[in-house]
Amino acid sequence: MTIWMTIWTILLITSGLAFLVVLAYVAFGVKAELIETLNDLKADVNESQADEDILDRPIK
Amino acid sequence: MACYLLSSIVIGLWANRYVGNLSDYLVAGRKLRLRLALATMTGTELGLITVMYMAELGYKQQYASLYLAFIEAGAVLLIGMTGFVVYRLRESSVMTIPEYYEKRYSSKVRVVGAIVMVLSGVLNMGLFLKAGSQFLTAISGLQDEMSLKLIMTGLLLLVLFYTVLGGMVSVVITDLIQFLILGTGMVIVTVVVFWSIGWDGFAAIVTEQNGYFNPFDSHNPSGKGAGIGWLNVIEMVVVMGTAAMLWPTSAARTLSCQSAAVAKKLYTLSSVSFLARRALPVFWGIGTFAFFASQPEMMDEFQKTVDAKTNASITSLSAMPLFLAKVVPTGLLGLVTAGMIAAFMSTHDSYLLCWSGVITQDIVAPIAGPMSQRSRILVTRIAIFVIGAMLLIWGLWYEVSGNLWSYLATTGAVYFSGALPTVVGGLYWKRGSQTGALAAILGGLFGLSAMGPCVTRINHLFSSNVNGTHLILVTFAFSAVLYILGSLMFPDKTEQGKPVGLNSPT
Repeated sequence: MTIWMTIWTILLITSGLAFLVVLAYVAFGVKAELIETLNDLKADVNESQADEDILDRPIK
Repeated sequence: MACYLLSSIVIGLWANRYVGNLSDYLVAGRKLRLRLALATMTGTELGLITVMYMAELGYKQQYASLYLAFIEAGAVLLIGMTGFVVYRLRESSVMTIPEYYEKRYSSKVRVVGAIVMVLSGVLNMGLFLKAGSQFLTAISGLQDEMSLKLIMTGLLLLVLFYTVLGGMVSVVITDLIQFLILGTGMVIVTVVVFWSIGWDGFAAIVTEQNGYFNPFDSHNPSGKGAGIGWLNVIEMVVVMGTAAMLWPTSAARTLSCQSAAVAKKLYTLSSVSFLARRALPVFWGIGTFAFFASQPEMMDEFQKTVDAKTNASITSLSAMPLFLAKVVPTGLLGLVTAGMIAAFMSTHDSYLLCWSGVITQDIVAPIAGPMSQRSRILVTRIAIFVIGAMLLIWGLWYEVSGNLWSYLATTGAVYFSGALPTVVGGLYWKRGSQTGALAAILGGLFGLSAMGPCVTRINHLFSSNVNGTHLILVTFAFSAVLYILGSLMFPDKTEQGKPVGLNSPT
């Protein structure tokens, strides 16, 4: 029982602390990534608008 | 709460501006960087349903149920470190897993694989609404069934609205916000649970309350639920190992990443989120057990209500939210509820988009013939609404026998058992053939026999004593054998020239 309790306690503490780190990692820095991603997507939209036929062309 | 819900509508409208073509709509143009991918992966897989069933297991099986967190996080970490399957899948530049089936095998495999995948997936998410409503009932004390149904329907409509409009782009953005809200909520709840029970309360599970610790022991000494045992652990290694690689909503994140290297890193970091998504709710469930065990009268009253089945909204799933309603201070309870509703929405949007994308790309388009990108987006939007309507109906009338996790594992196994040999064999075995793939995918349907009512029927008909675990393991073995035999006996004619894995290994 002692072994199991040790394993589970370590697992719980690790998961709680590591999750906090991941939360912080995403929170600090995600804004820049989001802006870059949206800029890339905007470029896609502009490309599609420049040649609207692409969207209506049947694709296999 | 109202601000948060309104912001989802605004995001849906706003994200629609960033959808230029089909790839943007289904996989966010494959432009996701690591942090965004991590947020959407966690937001999707850390749903209210996960919180509910893991807390239920924590309440019934206490510490022993943590084995699931250990298995899953280990599997995800291993995949992240080796790139096994996910690297090659992302390299193949497909948008869905059935699309890979066509590249590797044939269009017939793609359509059949997609049908089985959608069947399994929609059945799997069929009970998400019910679990969500049970959470709201227990935490808010709302007893009026009609009001509850209206609230759940309203939440679902909100999800449908922004998913239909912005596809993966709005899903990713809302997932990011939802991840931050639910992540904060989870940390707060964990601290409150520890604070309210205290070290002595958790220690009492060991010293006084016959807590369950060893998952390899099939006897549950707490008397709160079934035991686990070796066979169950093996079943979960197989099911969760496969899910980590091939669960379509996770795969959709893999396929949305900027590159295969990002997809690999995503898995390494996601091992932490996957560990937390199971371990923290189990901890709340253990806290619930300790709380009720320290107040025997309350526990008896709760157990009698559950056993009597007089109120369909009160089952063992309700134990955790009832406990939270008692220990979380009123002000924080609003934040926790917002966090859990965020979890509810972030899972639904991704699941709806994933299955509807598969319906369009892998069932309708191959059957109907060449379709334009605009038509495909339209069909996907219609499919999202149809699945939403099915969820409402299914969630209202199906009653779960056993615990919720068993139901999810069983419905998932219908797809996993066929997909595992088909994808892994396709990527790493040159002789894998179309016939083998079809046989394995259809063999997975045998997994439906592991659903509660079917198991009862089988045992009645054959006077046997099999359970869901036996039938799921048999299904996995059956599909793997069918794949190997089918491939060896009926090899593809173009076998020699067929690319395996489509790209170089990691």
